[in-house]
Amino acid sequence: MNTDYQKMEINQDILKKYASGQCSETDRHLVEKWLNDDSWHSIAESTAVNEEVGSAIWNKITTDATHNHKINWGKVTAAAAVVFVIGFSIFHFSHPTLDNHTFSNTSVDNSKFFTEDHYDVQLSKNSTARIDLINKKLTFSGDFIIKPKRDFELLDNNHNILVFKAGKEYFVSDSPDFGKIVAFQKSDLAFLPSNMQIKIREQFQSI
Amino acid sequence: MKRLLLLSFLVTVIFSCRQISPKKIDPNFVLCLFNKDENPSSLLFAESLDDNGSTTLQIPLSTSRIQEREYIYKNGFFYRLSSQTSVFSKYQLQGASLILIDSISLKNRDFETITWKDDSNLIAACRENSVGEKKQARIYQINVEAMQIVKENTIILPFATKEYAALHVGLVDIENDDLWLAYSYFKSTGKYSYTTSDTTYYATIKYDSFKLTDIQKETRSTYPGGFNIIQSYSFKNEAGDYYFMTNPGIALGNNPNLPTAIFRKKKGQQLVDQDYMINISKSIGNHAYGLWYVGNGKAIIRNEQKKLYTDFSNFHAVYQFEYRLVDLKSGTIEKIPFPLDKGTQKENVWSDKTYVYIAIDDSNDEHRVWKYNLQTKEISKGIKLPSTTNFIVRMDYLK
Repeated sequence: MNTDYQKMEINQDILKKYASGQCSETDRHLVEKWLNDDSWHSIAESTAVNEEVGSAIWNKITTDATHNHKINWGKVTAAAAVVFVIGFSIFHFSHPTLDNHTFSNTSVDNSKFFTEDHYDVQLSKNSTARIDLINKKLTFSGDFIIKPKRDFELLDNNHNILVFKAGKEYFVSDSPDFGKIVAFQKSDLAFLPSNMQIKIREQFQSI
Repeated sequence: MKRLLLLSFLVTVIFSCRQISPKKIDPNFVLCLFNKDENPSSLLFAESLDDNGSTTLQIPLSTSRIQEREYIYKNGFFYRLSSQTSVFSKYQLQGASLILIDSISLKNRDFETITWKDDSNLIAACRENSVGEKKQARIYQINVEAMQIVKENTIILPFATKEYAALHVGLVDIENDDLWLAYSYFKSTGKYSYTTSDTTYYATIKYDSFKLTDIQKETRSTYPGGFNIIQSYSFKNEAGDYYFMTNPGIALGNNPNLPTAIFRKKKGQQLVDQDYMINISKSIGNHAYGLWYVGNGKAIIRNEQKKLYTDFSNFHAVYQFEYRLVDLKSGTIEKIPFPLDKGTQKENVWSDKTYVYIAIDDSNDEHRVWKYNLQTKEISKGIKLPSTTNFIVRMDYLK
């Protein structure tokens, strides 16, 4: 089985361009298809990492480090200054102020994807969400998947605190079928009844 | 998430530049782990389930998608059906990598239940979209050596009602030229919730012509079996008698007024034995999910504890699951004093007929295989899994 993206070589350059938003529409489509592929071969052939690999790399790093006996404090100070300036710039420019957004998806068929400074959010059909990071409030109806880019907490419609952590993915729903408002981590969805999982998958293909 | 994937890809590219020979391992077991913090799921290969310091090898899978655990293992190969592409693929562990061997396209995206006709032929039942009010199941016979579809057909199954119109095909068995399916119907009760009707149906079908020859109605319980790629609900004993479980509890059938029960279909018979039933709910006061044969007329069940969960918001996360040994002849049920486990459905029980080995995620955040001696009834500790584990969702014997 050869899919489009397997014919095209997914390499470091294309991924870098994709990450910085500089690749062509066709390449973007193919990379996204590659990222969404749920078959094992998309990584398994090349990414077997075992403890030995990790420890060998660690040993190499520590060996290299111990070889540097003489310390040039001038260079260290200069390097520290550069690191500080870069770090400060990244911190300063990559942490925009907290915001307050309202999202709506009136479609009866498809989910809708939004990307924001502090999170990405995918709203299922017939859903709305107001995510107010300033006042830490969440008002919504329906369900959505949220992928935070920073840690934050929100108070939901029923005054429960929902905790969101950067880099994770959450399914949030007000459906009475779950008993109360839920913010399941994605892996938790694997433990819902199979028929429920199928219904959730129908709305959010990427889980 | 995509950026995380990109980062892990770049790290992998950098790591793979170094030539390091993988560990030499002759694994007897594979465990599928859901890891903490949404890290990719992994397969952990182990030589032994005993706590003896033997070699293990962990392979991360592509993502933390919820279906990573839905694979079939048979005679050295892993098989997987993609719910995105309907492609059925065959993989093999070579060195420290899973290599794609072959793949074929099917019309369906999910197997609801499977069985093996013989070592080379997989029988899979899928539910099909209905045409009008006629409910259909699609049956595949796939020769996994040649990776070819030997047979496929659609079977119309009767007794759907206007109210209960969605089909659940929960068990499949094949003996000689007869195909046997157990099914029930369910209805939606909300956006995600549903309930199953009170009746189970057992259909006998001539396998050469796919002609329905007999239907048996069962009203003692409902929701027969389930997605058995995720968890086992049936087995054949040494004599070839077929035992199976019904699952009306909230995690599967969601008709909890009916009991979880074990039933029997004797070898050579197409009818389920109406004189045989082990009423699990009545004996233990809770529903159970999962049935594993451990030899000598005994089976393991995994039961919930309704006093410990409130609803679906915490059902999977609370430490509530117990393991019990069922005597299939007398019907007596004995609790095994393991730590309480979490996770709604798991395929985590194996026996060498001396010990029962069960992989448990306990409330001390310890992830370990536990042993139960079937003779002395003593429990002891087996292999400990990495602390990065969140749930052990599968444990398969590879030999």
